[in-house]
Amino acid sequence: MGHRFILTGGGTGGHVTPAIALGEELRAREPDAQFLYVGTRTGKEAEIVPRYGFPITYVKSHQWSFRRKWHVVRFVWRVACGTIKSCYLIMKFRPDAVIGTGGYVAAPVVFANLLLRRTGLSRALTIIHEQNTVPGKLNALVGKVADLVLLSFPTASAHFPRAVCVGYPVRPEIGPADRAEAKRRLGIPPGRRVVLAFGGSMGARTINRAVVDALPFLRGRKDLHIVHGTGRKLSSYDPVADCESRMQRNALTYESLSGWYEAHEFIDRIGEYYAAADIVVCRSGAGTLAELCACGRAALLIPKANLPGDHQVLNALEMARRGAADILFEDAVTTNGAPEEYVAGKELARKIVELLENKPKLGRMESNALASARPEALKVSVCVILSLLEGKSPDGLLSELTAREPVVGDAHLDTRFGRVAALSGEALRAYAETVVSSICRSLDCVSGTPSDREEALVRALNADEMVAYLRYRAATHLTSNNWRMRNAGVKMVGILRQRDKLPVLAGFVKDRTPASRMRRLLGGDFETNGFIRRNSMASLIRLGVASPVVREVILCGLADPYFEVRSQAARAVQVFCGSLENDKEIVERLLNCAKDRYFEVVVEAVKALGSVAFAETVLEVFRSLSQHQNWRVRQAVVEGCCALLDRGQDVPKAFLSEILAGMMVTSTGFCPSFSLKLAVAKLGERIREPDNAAGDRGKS
Amino acid sequence: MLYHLASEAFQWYRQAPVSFPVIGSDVLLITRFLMYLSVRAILAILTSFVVTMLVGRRLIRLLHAHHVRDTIKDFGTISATDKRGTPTMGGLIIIASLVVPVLLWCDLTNRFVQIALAATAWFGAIGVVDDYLKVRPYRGRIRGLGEAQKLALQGLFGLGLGIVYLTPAISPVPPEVAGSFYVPFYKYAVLHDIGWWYLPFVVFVTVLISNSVNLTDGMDGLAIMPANFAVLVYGVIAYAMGNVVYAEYLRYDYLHGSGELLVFCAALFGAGLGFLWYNAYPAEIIMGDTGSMALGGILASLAIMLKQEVLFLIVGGVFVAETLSSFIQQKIGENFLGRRIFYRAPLHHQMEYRGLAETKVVIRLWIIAGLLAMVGLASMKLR
Repeated sequence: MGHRFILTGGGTGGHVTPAIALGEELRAREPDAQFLYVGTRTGKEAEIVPRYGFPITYVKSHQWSFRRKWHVVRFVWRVACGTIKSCYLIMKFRPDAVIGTGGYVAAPVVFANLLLRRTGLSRALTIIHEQNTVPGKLNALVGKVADLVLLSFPTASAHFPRAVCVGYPVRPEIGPADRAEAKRRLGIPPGRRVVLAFGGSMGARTINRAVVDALPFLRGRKDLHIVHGTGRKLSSYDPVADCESRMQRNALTYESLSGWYEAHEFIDRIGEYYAAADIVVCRSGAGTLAELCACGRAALLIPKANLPGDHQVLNALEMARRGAADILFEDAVTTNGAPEEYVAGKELARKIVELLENKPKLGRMESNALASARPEALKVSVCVILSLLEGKSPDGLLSELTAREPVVGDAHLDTRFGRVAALSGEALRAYAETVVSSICRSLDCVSGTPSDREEALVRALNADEMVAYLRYRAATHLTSNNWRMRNAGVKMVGILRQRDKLPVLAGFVKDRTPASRMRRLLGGDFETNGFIRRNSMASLIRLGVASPVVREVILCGLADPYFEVRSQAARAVQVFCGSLENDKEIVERLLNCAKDRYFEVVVEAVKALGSVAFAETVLEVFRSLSQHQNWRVRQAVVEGCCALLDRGQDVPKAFLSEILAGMMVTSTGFCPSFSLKLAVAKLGERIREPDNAAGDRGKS
Repeated sequence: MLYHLASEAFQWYRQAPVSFPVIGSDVLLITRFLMYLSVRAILAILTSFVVTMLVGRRLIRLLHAHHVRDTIKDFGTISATDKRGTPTMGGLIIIASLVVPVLLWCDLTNRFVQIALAATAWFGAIGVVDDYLKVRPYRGRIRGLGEAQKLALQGLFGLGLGIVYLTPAISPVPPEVAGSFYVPFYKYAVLHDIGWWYLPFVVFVTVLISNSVNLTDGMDGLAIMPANFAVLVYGVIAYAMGNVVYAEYLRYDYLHGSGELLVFCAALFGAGLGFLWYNAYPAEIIMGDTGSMALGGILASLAIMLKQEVLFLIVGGVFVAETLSSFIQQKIGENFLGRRIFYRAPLHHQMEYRGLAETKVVIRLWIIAGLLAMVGLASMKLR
């Protein structure tokens, strides 16, 4: 009598494939083994599993993501139902091992087994296979108490107490192959370099559109051959129709591209196409990455955004760290009220060409990919499972395996991105700020005008890998439903100098969708609330791009109902004064702001008037404000006068002396300074000085 | 203690079998003299001030040496960063110089005094824990007690106070008075003897008042003077309510023994003045949560015991304004609407932001608090 196994895992194809692979290998080893696959009715497993001849039963489960608060109730209810049914299934089937490959489907089954083990009603071992660099929420939870966790990436071992890295069980037909031979078999002319692009089992839209958009930019290169796997039609998305409409938009036809570009709904002989490819453009699901490594091909990864734990991004970053892939992050925009990810075709084309031109780099990437392949993954996994069943203690096995696999040692090497992926909102913004300021500090030696330094900073930011990741996160924050997230995103856009996001910021300032009735009753105004509008304005200042769009936004901001937006807009006028000088409309609105109820607005407006207006238009206003009861307004008037003089405006001497004579300055000393504190600071500097000097000498 | 000594001596001499014709009458006079509330109140002020003088300097050095120093409290304010490094937990000075004269000059068997002392101890302890957690860097972050923890601890005391207050056997107040609700400027109870329904109100008032003082404590000398004014008013009211004649005249409910709170309030007043000695701008020490919590707790228990909860809206007007402005800004403005309603909150930061120097803000708020205290005192007669 062979062993009895419960296999579980699913939701997406990425979780089902390894379960099937493990099952098939186990069946090959033990022909009399019995299997039961437990899945959900709605997941991919319901479609795939029967094809491989495993009996399947269904339980309820739900993923760990809640758009509304009450979804938690639904989650708890479904998982509880699933767990109860799984208990029944386990007691009836009496398995020797429960093998979960992740996805929310596995959770109730594994939970049930753990419960039954506690009460002595089940003797089944719990074995979990985690494919990604960051485990899913539920996998991370049950993995803590499982007998053994098998990993694809060593990075994930930080999350589990008993984990061993075995790699991803790849289909045996995929492996290293000769490129020229593959091209010949596929009928691709030998001189051509092949770009293989496909989207995976889900979420192919971004890649499809990006590839079609990139075609016009790649057309000039006749040495290319582009293979595009669009994916099969789904209920929510029809790839063929979408590509077609996209082609029309780019004024392309399939006929005109024939022999150079081929589109397939489904790539059957994926192994051969991998072999033929020079570069693969794809998602960074664990399965795809394992296949890429197995056949040693360089990849340009476009990780899918907004997945649990951002795992595709982290997988991609891990591959990039190994030098096996380059990353192109998605960008997000809001279209018709819903967030939509996209990749610019031009950018994709640029990246592809850049990689293809750099042959040494491509070679390095290929060899790095091959080096991190684990062709024995499947065999090792099955061996481990079977030896566990033979009564080996998990701990003993673990130490044996880790001794043979020293690679686990680098698990903690790059958890930096993992930690950042766990941040969101204000915490992420704070992190972005520290990153940018550290880059700023490293630029300290750059001399020149502030604008030169700003340009240098932008260049440095563009080159940084972490900044690229943070920019991608900022973009997803901007499309969030939660205003706090949007607000944090707005701030990050400014901090990270994302100049391409300028239209989004402009849209925020101009947005006039009314807020909910309750909010309006308490003094709120628009859906894009005051903080977001104010911070958008502030971020626009940080981006430092003067353009007609920015002028429009400033005009709008100066008439905003919220006072902080008005004062921020007036500050923007001061910053962009070069392009706004003597602008009639702006000056008119500023004059209005100078009469504002809020002194903060008046202060900024007066300073702004000083930096953009003609002297004669503002002198009257300045004269009356020079007697304002708030000294900060009076100070602004003086500063405004200075700004007028700096610009060479013709300000009558009589007017200035009148203002000076009438200015109430209250007293001679206003801000007391503590001489002891100054003395302490001075001595402190003296102490630190020799250290630094010695350090510098040591370095040189 | 001295009070008890004096009263023992007085009893002994009066009943002494042998009469001491000359000395005896003098001793009788002095011991008698020491039993007057007014005399003890003045002695309490002086004692507490002397204690602050004796303890203050040493405590400041001690706290500084043990790195009990302020970290940045609120960001977004103009002067907050300058205050880094000032020793905190100065409330210990207040508590020490309050407790010593109370032990010396108060009738410690008096239930009012016992409750007030319990409030001092409980809220002082919350404050000490909070300050300690704040000054101790915790994994590089700075954090004190969380908002919920603080509220829970304050509410717990409120609950205990309410239970003691409403249980006739152990309450300092007659039961028909304890469960009634009074408002200032109106001599009859608005709600008559609602019994245990009064309990939630007691909890609410305790939490509100103790928090409001805590919020106000943000500038040198800002919390202590308004608290002193309020304490003074409550002391006078306690004296009036504890005196049969005055209570009858002012149409207060007579509370037997509440006069003893005058001595307590006097001690606190003296301690406050002594603390201000060091805390005046630029501060050598700041009271921290230790002080503000203790002050708030004491004020809350005074207000509740003397049935003058609503009067706090007047005599503690500064505290109320600070709390309200902060609540509106944070809870309604920043969290719900996503915009600011005031330039800054609480009130003293708003004033500072508008261009007033810190000292000016503080003194203006003192003036307002003083005026409000006068209005509060007027409520005794105008009913």
